[in-house]
Amino acid sequence: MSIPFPTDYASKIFWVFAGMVLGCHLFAEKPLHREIDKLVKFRAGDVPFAKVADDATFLRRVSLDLTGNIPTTDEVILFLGDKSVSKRSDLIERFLKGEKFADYWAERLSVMLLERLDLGKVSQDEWKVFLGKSLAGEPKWDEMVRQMIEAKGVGASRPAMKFLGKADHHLMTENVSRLLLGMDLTCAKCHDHPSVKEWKQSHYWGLFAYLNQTKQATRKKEGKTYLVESLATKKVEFESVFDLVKMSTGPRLPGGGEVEIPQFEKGEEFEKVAEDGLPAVPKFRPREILANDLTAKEYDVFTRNSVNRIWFLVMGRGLSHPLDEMHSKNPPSHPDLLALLAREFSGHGFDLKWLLREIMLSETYQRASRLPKGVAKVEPTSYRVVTPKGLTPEQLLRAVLRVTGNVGEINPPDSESEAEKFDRKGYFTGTHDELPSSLEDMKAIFVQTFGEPPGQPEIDFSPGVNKSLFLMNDRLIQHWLKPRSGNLVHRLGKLNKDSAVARELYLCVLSRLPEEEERDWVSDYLSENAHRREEAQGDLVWSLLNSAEFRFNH
Amino acid sequence: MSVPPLHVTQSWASRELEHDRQLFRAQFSPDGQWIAAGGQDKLVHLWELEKEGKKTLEGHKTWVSSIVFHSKEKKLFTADYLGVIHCWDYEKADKPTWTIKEADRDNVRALVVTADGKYLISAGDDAVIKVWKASDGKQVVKLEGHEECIFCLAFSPDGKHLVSGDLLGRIRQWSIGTWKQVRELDAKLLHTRKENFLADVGGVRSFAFSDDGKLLAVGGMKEAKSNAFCPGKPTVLVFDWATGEVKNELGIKGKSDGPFNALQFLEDGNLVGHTEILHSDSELVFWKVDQAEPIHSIKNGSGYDLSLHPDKRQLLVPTYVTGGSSGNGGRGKTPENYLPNTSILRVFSLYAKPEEPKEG
Amino acid sequence: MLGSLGGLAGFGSLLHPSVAKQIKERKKQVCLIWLDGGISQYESWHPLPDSKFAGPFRSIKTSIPGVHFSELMSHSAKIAHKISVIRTMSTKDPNHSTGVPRMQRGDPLDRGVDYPYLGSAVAKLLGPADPELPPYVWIKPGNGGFIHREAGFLDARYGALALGDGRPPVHIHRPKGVSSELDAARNALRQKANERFKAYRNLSDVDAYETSYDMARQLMARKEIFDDEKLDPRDRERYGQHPLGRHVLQARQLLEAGVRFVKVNSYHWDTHGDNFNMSQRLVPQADQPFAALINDLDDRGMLDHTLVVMMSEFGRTPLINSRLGRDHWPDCWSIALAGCGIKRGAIVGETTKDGGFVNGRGYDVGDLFHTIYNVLGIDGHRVRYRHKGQKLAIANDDCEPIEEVMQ
Repeated sequence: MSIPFPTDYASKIFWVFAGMVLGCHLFAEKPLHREIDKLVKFRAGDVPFAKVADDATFLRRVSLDLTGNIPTTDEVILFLGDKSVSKRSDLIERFLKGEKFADYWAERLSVMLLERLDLGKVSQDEWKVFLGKSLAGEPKWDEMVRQMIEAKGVGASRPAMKFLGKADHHLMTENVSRLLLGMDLTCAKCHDHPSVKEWKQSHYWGLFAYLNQTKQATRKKEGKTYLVESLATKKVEFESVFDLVKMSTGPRLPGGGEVEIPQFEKGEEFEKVAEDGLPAVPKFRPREILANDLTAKEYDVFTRNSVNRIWFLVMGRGLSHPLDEMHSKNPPSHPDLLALLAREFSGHGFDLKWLLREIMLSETYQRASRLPKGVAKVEPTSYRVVTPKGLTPEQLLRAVLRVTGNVGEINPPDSESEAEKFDRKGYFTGTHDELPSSLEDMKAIFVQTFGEPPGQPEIDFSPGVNKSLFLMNDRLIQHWLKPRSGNLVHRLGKLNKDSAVARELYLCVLSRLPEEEERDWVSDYLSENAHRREEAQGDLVWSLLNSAEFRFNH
Repeated sequence: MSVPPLHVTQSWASRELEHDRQLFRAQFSPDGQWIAAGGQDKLVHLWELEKEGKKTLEGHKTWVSSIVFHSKEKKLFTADYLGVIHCWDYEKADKPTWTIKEADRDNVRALVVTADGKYLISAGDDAVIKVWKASDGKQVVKLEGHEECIFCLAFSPDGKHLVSGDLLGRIRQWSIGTWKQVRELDAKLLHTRKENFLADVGGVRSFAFSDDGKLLAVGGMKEAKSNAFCPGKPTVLVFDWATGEVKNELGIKGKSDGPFNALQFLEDGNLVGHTEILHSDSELVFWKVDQAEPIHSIKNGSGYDLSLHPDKRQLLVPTYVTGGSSGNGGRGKTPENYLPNTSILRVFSLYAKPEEPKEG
Repeated sequence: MLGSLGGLAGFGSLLHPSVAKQIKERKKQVCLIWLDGGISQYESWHPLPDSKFAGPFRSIKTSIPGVHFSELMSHSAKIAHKISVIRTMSTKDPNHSTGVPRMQRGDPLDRGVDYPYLGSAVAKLLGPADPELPPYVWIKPGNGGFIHREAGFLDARYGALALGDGRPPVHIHRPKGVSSELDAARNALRQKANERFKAYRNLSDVDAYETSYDMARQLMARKEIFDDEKLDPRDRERYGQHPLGRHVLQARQLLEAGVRFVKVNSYHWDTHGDNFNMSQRLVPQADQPFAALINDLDDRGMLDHTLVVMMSEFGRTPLINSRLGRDHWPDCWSIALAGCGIKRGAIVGETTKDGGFVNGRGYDVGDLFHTIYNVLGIDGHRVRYRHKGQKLAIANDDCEPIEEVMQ
């Protein structure tokens, strides 16, 4: 199977050399996390690297990356006080095994795979439950993807089909190529890709030919919709808008061989008759073949894209970036590392938690985001420092709720009557004065403000005037900053000593202890505002909530 | 000669007259000997059927939008998008007998003649119904009330009332002679304007009264999705004339996405209508009016008018035909081979095709 | 504060009042009116009633002898002598999804990067016209927000501040009970925290985050420029009481306040179905505010330094389809330009008799971009972006400014 690797001479030489280096290391069977560090250091050369991040920073980072929220004050104090040598790896282990991992990673993978669209007949809730179940235990990424494409599950595994949405053939082709293969083939629908020479129109239509028999059908008795396949009898025809030459292809993965469409005797094409609203089941089902071929160990394109995206999710940037531009004109920053991760991931049965563990045990992941002494600037792709990632909209909401201590303000989902649906649109146009009280409504508001519009990938940090205005002036946040029983500002109000206020403030909002300079600022501000001390404490919380240190996962 | 019995499911295309430009209106003359049609090429085309003659009348300066034969005399009235109405003595003359220069500030979308031949009535973009003397085109009266452009007019079979239908789905009923509004009927289902639309879409596009006057069928489309492609669900509302309420809503089984441009009741009480679709085949649709689903559909290109021959067995549809250059962009075509779309005036005979006489 | 905004290439010190005044007098601005979907040239700028592809509407005389527009453009017909129209835009892309970004990016020769949309490009190349205002504001139906995507490979801060339905973000108002002094005090705390965070970090994302706060506070300080309560009801009548009319009037308000680039979008012009009934209603909605804007800018002495462009991603087919609509037609279509550096009364481009094809010189969007940059005082062939060590052309190097419409 040919793979679209860089073919220029310099890259070939490097490949051979990297292969030799790798060969030595693999023979020695060092753990993957050590190999990651070795390759990163090797590529950067003899230059200073930042030290490993301090405990508070590490706790906050891992907490966000594995559970989707900042740690509580108690968790910070406990971790800082823990003397055991293995506390970092123990923490990673605890989080990987915990419930919050499944919930959070279901959320992140959902945003990556569905891009906030809600298409098809599976509800968002059913899909999240399915993903959550897959991620609890020992999730295997190839198995998860295979289920999503095969989409023939019933009962609890039926929601896997949500990834394919409403079975729009072109949309499915584009999504599979972008999200599972790292190839944005959208522009290759009407002609060979205008700027990426190795992406051909035949790649687009070869994928299309796996998916174009798929359609929705509803089981009459239970009223549920499934994805079925019609009978494929011939290749897919296409022509370039530029040269109008007719071409055709059967199902074919980029870099793979063409699947032959079998011709059956009339009457022999189906293996199951139509029943209960579902059509007859053909013997040849190209989408099921795709599910297997695409997730096969040997299909490197899928594995490389998978590890690239998992790397992106914890490191903030893919080794190949942008994530759907994996081609020779856009080589990865560390081709050897990408190849190693791909090989190891597939070698370990696409064990997602194993890969996450190995990445997080590396120094590369644990490095501080502060520059090493004497260094003014580094290239982010050198990994000499960790590059901070923006909090996702959902992380931001959860963190703000945790910080301000207003979790008790949230109505449980069932208590809201249909008649009093919160007017989300009116919240943004200023046509009413109400505040959302359910987590769903709050999430919707944060997602609308901080997320990308539906259908757009959420990859890079994108600050905006409207987002900053929101954090500064939003009514809901102002409401949370008013002292209320048990919330942060109320708790601060009970502390008489400025130093205690500073400690509680920084532990709670920034998940660390304040430095001396910071204790002084707090004290100065409280003195200047002695006549309105409680409100001033709200100002302090506001200022840290709006700071870069809070906004970023550093 | 007796006519064969009506048998719509056995209908067949018995006659086709080709034309090299798009025609939007086509009507049989009351004696069934002529077909008049008009559209994009600004000309009025006449075919004398038995003699196989063809005439072209020049006079309009823009698209012909409405055509109606005089109910009693051998006269033809035609109107256009500039508000002009011509009266033609079509068998003899090549120039209009008389002309109304400003029957509307823009498009005269509907033109009808009373059964007694006294009045010619027009309506269109300026939302005012105008009654003219059919003999000389002098204005008799104006009927005001509609707020948006009027697409169609029709008379009740007893000749006592006129109905008018507009873009907003409102129908007004007027009494002939006293010229007063009598009633309003609600066909707002056929109008769509969602919040993000820039304009109103749809409207009441066609009328047909049943022969006994008990039912009024109103054609258009509902649930338009946009004001860009303007795709909707072709829909007929069947009103009980006595009560003014909708008795039935009729639809299609096929994929057409445009309004019902024309409706016609048949002798057996069934209804027929024609709709349109983008870049594909549309349909001629037949219903028993108490059933929502059609009893029969005939695949046909998009059609814009219907006319029933006085023998009540032949139905005329000006039908869209692609010239082969349709779709987005030139795609390599040149001015020489980028050709306009055309028309076929297709006549459907609503009975079983007679067997070919045996040879020898 | 000025430094943190960036994009002020060459305008080193604006602190001296006389220098500031000089530059203020020179400042060029742009208004792009985008009719998304493809306005029909047969029903607007190029009616050709004798063409075999003509629609049913009249063509009317304009203020330029011998030149006619569609009757649906009655206001623009009266001011034809103030504008230029190019009737032979001839571009390659018949699709919306690729055509819209292609048109708005100027279709440069591909260098493997996402080029910025015109507004972001001008924001970068010329900087803000008023350092306290965002350089690129986008008035559109639907939702607002900050659309960094339009900045392409440029820094996110050159994205568009989008005003949903022309309204400023609701969060532009300080919360009740927070005075401007208090707001200043708590922002000072925030800035101190950020200084500490940035002390050992050199990160463009964090800089961009801070910049967004600076811009946010500046917007709050100047929020009256978004207040459409201040608009004269007679102006509202003149521009038209419909969304595009309102939004073009709001664009005028922003241009008067000193925003460098204002884009106004209208959607649903893609009349594949019922094109004639729809054009009858839609085209006047663009015609009326366009003409009102040109006249108002002229009256205020702003037309000579404000460029106005009204266009779509392509035109519509000469052929009329089965739904009485017109499909997409990039082969030969029309756009209108006026203002800064543009000739008054130049109607440019010969087509075939029936209007479907270019007869002679056709112009691609690259030519249009060279024209736009040229009249804004930017040499499209020499100015380059610097991106990751590469020099990138700002417009398609194979194209040229359209002399026929330039003064």
